Amino acid sequence: MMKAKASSVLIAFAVGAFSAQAKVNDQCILRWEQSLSAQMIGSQCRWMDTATRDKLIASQQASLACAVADATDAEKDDVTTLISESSRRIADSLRNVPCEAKARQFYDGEVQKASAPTPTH
Amino acid sequence: MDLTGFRPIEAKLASAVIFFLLAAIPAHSGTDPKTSINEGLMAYYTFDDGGHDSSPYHRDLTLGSIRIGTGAIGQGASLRAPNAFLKLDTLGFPRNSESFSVSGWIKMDSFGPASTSRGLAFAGVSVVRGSGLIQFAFAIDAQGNPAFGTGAGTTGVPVGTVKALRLGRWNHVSVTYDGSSKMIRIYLDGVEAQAARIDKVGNLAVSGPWHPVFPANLDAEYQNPDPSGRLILNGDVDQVVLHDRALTPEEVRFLADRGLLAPPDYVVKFAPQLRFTKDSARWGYPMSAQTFFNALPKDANGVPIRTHGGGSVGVENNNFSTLRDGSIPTYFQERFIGDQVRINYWWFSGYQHECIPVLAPQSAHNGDWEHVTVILKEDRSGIAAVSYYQHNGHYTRIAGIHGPCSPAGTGRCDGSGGFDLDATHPIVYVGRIAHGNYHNTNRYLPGRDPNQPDPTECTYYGDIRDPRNSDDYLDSSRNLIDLDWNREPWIAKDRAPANWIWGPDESYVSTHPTQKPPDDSEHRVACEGAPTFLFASDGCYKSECIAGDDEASEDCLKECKPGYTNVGLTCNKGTWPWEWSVYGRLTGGNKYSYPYTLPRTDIGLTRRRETDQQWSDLP
Repeated sequence: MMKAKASSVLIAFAVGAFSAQAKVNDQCILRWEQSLSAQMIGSQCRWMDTATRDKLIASQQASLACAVADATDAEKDDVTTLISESSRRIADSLRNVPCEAKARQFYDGEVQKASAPTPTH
Repeated sequence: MDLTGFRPIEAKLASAVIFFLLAAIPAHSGTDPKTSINEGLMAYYTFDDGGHDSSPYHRDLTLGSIRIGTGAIGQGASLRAPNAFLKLDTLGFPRNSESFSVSGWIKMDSFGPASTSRGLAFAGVSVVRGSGLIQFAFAIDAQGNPAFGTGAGTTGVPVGTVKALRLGRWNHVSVTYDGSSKMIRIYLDGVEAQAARIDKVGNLAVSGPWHPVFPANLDAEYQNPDPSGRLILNGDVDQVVLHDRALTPEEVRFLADRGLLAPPDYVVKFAPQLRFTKDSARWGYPMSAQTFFNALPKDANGVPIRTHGGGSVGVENNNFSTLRDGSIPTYFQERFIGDQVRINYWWFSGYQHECIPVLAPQSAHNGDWEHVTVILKEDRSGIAAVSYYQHNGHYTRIAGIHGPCSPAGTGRCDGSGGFDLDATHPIVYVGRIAHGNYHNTNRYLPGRDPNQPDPTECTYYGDIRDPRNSDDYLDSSRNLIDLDWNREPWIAKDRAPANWIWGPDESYVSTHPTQKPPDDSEHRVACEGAPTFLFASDGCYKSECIAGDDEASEDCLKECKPGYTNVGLTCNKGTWPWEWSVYGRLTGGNKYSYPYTLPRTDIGLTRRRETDQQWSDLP
């Protein structure tokens, strides 16, 4: 059986305690998903110009920064890992999105939010 | 045990003493159950010779469709065929006793529907209800007298246990009835499970004093072949013994002593295969704890006393050939949590040598206990999870589907997940120096000199596990010893409140395996230690999440609730973004830490959550 030295035990405790206080901001994650969805819809429905695309991308970056502002390094890694998975799945789900009024209303709303001040956590 | 007077319960230790020579011994002539158990013996069926009655009365049974198979001790009777039951003919009790006892071993595969599952285990009417509770029923005739099947349409006065039999393992049952006090007692595994006074018929329409007097036979309802085939015990019985008196609690315990009994079949079937390193002999193999215990200095009561100073007690096993000769015991302790069986398998090493490389050095100590916990599927057809322990933590690997794991290629994400089996036996790799248990190897690097220390060898996962071939394996199913009984004397000394030290050296390392059952708080959680890589105390680093959940670096992320789609960072319901109902997977109750409480059912271990209820029941 292993008998650990006290120093190692203390390291484990410190990491665990810090982990309990950190968190990922769900609202900011949701904002990121919606902005990304709007970008994909705008692109597929050919509603989006370059300036709007840049606004949406900037909005997504701000949302992600907000999401992990209080996160531990490990949680940041988790978010990073899941972002690519989320992007792929959202793209798949929107492949046949109908370019109709509700879609336009959603898109316009997200563009408007992207023009608003950067979200904070 | 020495049951003189009739063929001993552990039949292989046949006594040459003839019953009639001992029959002259007065009833309860002493307090030793070894001799008093012979008094009032009326019948004894070992099933080692078919239906032969080994008592002096030779009341042999006609077995009919009963098959003979493996019993609790030697051979037993399988009652799995329809209408297979022990048909006991009328027994004359020469002493006209109004007391009696019926004892025996019973093992059931299932209980079946409550209304139809009847275990015709012993004399009288011993019934195993669908819940697994034992009932012993006296049939009452129209005049309120115990009839034992002499009248059609009789009603029983049942006395039932609150504690149920354990499925799939041998349980010892004794029913005693004392005619003078009219007390009936039912014992399970040597412990009284129910007691009741039966001096009236009670809820029957008849009244009057009631004196159960043998001769007894099975109720007629159960003696006649049943075309529907209802009367199936779905199990086995063995060592059925009848007495014309009420056995004492000591005598019942004597009959129920499982010290010489084979372990439950699932304990054998799922016993680990240990894999050692090619040079493990130098660092010690497991051995009998009794040998080591014998060498410890003790006080007047036989309790080990602490000695001062360091060094080895001088008892360890460095003999490579013991891996194959069956001499190395594996101690086990099983517990039921609902329908789930958890088994601790323990191994004892006399000495753990010092580990001196740079990182996480460890001092030497005597008396090194190591173990794994094997959690079985509810139907006991396979293994649901295995927990691997060290003194400094533990981790759990599950049989079920594994969700996405990150960061890839490290820690728990190194490999395909779960654990490996050799047939039904989980493979457990043993660290060569510290004897800790692992699910995987940690081989020597090419060109590494095994005699030179490696800087990481003393870390949690750093101990070398590098078997050459099957010569380095130990089949732990060959020599299993139940920690709940006293087959070796040290076991009784180990139980609470014992607090003596197994390692009487400066380290004072001491683990009392009998005091760490598989259902205690330590074994209830999946892991202990940091979830990310550290050198010494990172048990959770290789622990797994509940089936189907994402295994992230520090936490488990729940699979999405029913009706929601997993979108990675979130769970979404609805087709299009403007319809979405969304919740995040990285916060709140949607993630949990690795030391979660292990599920008590197959859900979460062998298969993922399926319903809202299961989603909320599990972490």
